[in-house]
Amino acid sequence: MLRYTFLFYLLIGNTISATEEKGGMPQLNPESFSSQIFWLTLLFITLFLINHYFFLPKIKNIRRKRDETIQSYLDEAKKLNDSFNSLVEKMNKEFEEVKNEQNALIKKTFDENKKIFDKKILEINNDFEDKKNKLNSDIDENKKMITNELPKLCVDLSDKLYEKIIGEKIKGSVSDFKKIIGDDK
Amino acid sequence: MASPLAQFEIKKIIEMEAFGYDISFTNSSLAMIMTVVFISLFMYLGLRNLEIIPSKRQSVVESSYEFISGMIGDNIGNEGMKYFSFIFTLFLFILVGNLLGMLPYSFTWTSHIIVTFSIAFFIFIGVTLIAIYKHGIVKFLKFFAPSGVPKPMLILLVPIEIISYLSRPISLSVRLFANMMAGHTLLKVIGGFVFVLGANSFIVGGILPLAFLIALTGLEIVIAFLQAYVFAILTCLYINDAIHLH
Repeated sequence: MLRYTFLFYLLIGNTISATEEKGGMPQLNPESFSSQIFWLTLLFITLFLINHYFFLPKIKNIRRKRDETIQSYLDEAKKLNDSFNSLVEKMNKEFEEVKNEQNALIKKTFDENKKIFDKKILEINNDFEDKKNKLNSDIDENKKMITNELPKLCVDLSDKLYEKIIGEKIKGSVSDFKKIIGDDK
Repeated sequence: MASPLAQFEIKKIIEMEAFGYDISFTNSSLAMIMTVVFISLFMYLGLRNLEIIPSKRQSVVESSYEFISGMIGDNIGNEGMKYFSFIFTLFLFILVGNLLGMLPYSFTWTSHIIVTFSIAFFIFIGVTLIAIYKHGIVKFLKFFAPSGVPKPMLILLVPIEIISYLSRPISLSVRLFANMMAGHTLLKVIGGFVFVLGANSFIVGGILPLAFLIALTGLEIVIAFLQAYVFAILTCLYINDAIHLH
């Protein structure tokens, strides 16, 4: 182990002294400056040109294309939304029209039916009135008839009763009867 | 075991020269190439099969796009979108450079002041040119003399404003470089503790520094992201200053 450590220190010592002989920081050694500047310029310009003319336009293009695609999708969505809205509007309008039509139809039917109903009611009322009038006139007529016929019937009835009870046939008259009941005026 | 600073050494892989300047392909260049390859692969795989409804990979790439575009939108506004590609590249370049540097045996090129300073200086020049181009030189110079300040105060304020403006590239570059270098040096030192203490105490002594090392690695990964973010957001703020000149 000691041998290896000794070897290690020997190596370090040698390299450090070698660097010291060269003069410390290699960065400050102007011998390599021209070569480094040359290669830096060459390679940086190469990389710049590759990026500027080859890679970056590709990225720009694909990003533009992506933006356009997104925009076209947005436009399409907007168009679809607009057409949907117009369809809904159209549907609402049609619905409203149908509703109005239906209401008008209902109103018309109602009016017509009401007219018919009123007419029927009127007819029934008239009929009823007619019948009532007829009945009243019938009643009056019958009353009159009864009033006219009643004395005669009474006379006949009293004649019959008299005949049955007494056994003697008499012939009374309406005027006599009226005289009796005091209605000879 | 090497010095904690040895990890920052630049090693030439292929020697090259142009117009008398050394442009050798080094381990730093290799790490930068790896960064560019990694970013390109990340983008390529994410954007291979583009779909309107993104896949997981595409979402990751797109979220990085959104992150930067949000940052620009918040700090600059819509005018800042012109600089999107630059800020996006800058952010990813530094972020991936930092993160790849966390891998063992890799190289953190953002830990070199000359690299960070070059980027920061380029941004500084660019931002100044944008400001002059947009507002003219006179209005740009008025930027150093805030309105509503008493005239005697200007003697003091203008030099301060100019120094603070000129120190922008330095603060921007040193912040990234120092963070990266300090973090990696610390990791290396703690790593050395694990090895030395473990070797001297039959492994048991190495456990505590190892736990510390793991925690620090986590922290370094967060710092790697944070520094890239700070670099990008400060760039946004400087561009905003140039565009709007408050």
